[in-house]
Amino acid sequence: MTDKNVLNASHLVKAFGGGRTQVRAVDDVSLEIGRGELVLIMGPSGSGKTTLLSMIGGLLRPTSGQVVLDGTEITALNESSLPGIRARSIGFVFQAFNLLEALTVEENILFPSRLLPGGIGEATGRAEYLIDQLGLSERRRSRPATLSGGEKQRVAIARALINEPPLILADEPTGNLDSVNGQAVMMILHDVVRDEGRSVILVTHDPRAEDVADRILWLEDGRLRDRKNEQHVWVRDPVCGMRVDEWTAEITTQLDGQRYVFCSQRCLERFQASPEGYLGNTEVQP
Amino acid sequence: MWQWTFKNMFSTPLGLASSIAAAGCAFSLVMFFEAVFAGEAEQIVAYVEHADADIWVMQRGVSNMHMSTSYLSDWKATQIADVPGVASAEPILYLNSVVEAGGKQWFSYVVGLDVPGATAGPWAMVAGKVEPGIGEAVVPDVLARMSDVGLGDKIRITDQNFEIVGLSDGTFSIANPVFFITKTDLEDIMTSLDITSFVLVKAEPGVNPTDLVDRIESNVEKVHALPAKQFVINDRQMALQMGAETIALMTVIGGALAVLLVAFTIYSQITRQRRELAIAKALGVTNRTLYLTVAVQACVITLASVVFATGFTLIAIPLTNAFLPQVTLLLMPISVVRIGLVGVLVAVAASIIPARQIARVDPLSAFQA
Repeated sequence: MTDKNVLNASHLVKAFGGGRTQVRAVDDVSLEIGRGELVLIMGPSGSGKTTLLSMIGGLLRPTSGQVVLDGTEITALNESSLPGIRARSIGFVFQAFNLLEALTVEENILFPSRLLPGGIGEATGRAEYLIDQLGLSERRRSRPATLSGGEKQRVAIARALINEPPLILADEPTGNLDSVNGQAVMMILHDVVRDEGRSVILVTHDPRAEDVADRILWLEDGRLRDRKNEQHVWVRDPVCGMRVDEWTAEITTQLDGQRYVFCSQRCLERFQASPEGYLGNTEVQP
Repeated sequence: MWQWTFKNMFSTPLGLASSIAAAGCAFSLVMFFEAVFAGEAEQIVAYVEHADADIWVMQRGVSNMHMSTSYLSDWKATQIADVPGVASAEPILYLNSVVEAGGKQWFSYVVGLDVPGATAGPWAMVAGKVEPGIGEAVVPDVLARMSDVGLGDKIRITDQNFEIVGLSDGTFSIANPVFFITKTDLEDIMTSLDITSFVLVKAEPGVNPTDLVDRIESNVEKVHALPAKQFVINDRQMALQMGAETIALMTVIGGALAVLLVAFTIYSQITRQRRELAIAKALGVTNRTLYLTVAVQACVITLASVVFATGFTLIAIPLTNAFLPQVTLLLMPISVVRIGLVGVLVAVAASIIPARQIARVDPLSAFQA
């Protein structure tokens, strides 16, 4: 572990079950995240992304391996110490926003600050700043139920930043947002890294995130590999004609020895209903 | 944290109010029951409390009136009257007996008064004479109304009939209504002459009753003398002791019911907010803090229930007394304190199951979309 790294995870393994039925959701993953770095972790569903994120976030104990977060080896800590680490050193952003419904926007943002010894004293000013920066001034007294998806996620980001943690863990933060709000959230996370010098680990399927990432890691079958310098392999969805990255595409099928990728399940179903009508529609201009 | 806890608690005000009311009703039941016993105990001691005496003298080994038997020879009353410092010594004869009035039977105190000039008779009258003559009785007014009898009607004590000549006030209790007849009539009923149960002593001005008690016991053989205050305390304790086990049982039942209601309220709240608890845990809230919030919620609900029960009982008691004069209800401060202490136990017990539920909430579930 060097000072430039906020996170150093080494040889992380998470196995579920035992014997022949044992599944290694994360298999010998090592990962270093530098300060002020935005790292994207991509991979198909069930590849172990959330499991990896949970172990980094101190929510799940690895079967073996070590996680050192901001100089503290959290895998060596007992259970009662981990909530304090999470409150102080990690900001969580979830796909489902996960705001506390009984609290207003401002109270949600300030919630993690109440978990630290100083309470909300100093955090009030920072909450003001974040509310202003994230365009939530008009909504500060609103309840989550009255917010749009984009607003909810901005509140969640502000909540993740309130205690000024060195590391933000974002799990599919654009998964429940439309393209405009998804793009906005991506840019906010990018600004968090650029302006505040915090590190962000972003788990997503959203290819737009690649534009803001410093590094892209690919997790598949529990193993991690760097994908920064690999080129996209753009192909067209044979049904709707949308451009899809063959690398990250999850909806695929094989026909006569050829692999077809789709943007959505609906396109796959239409293809499977009458493939002859769509064959040959996959070429893409470089 | 507390802001979140209380906002969550009050997020379903109707449900919360129902729970408080339900647990409050359980506590009210216990309070009401205690009030019945306390009221009845007060009525049982009403006679000894109102008797105009500084000292009660009785048979050795006896120390109260309720449910007890005391016999002294009449001449001892004369001896007591002669003790220096005694201003007056009035004998009464006393019997626990069934009295028949208007076709109903009442287990009663029958007090035989040394007439004429008795001062140990009824202390307040609704109608008629305060002092009965031979073949006459003064009966509690409430009992007379319940038995549909009045002045001039007859009542029967064991095998003898008596004419009602007076209706007394404050002498009725369900367990022991107090009837007054002459000592001579009661001696006749008991087929014993020249006996006394208690001697009511008045001290001369400036004489300390405690000193006089010692003097009476040393001057008159085989008697037990007690200052009136102590005699009343003993009688009240005896009366309350009779209901103690029933009250304890009712308290346990009411308390258990309240535990179930409070625990269910918190349990359902936690079940409803399981996901938010997972989020809170993921964000760094400790199990210990969440346990504390559960305990505080249980305390708040229980406290509110006790307040509800106290208020409800305070309103219900005068209403009950107004509509059911035969029942005397009395809410003692000690009952409220006792229910409050039971409430603390209820809150602790009601926190246990929800706390275990909290421990099982997995913060990882916050990642589920």
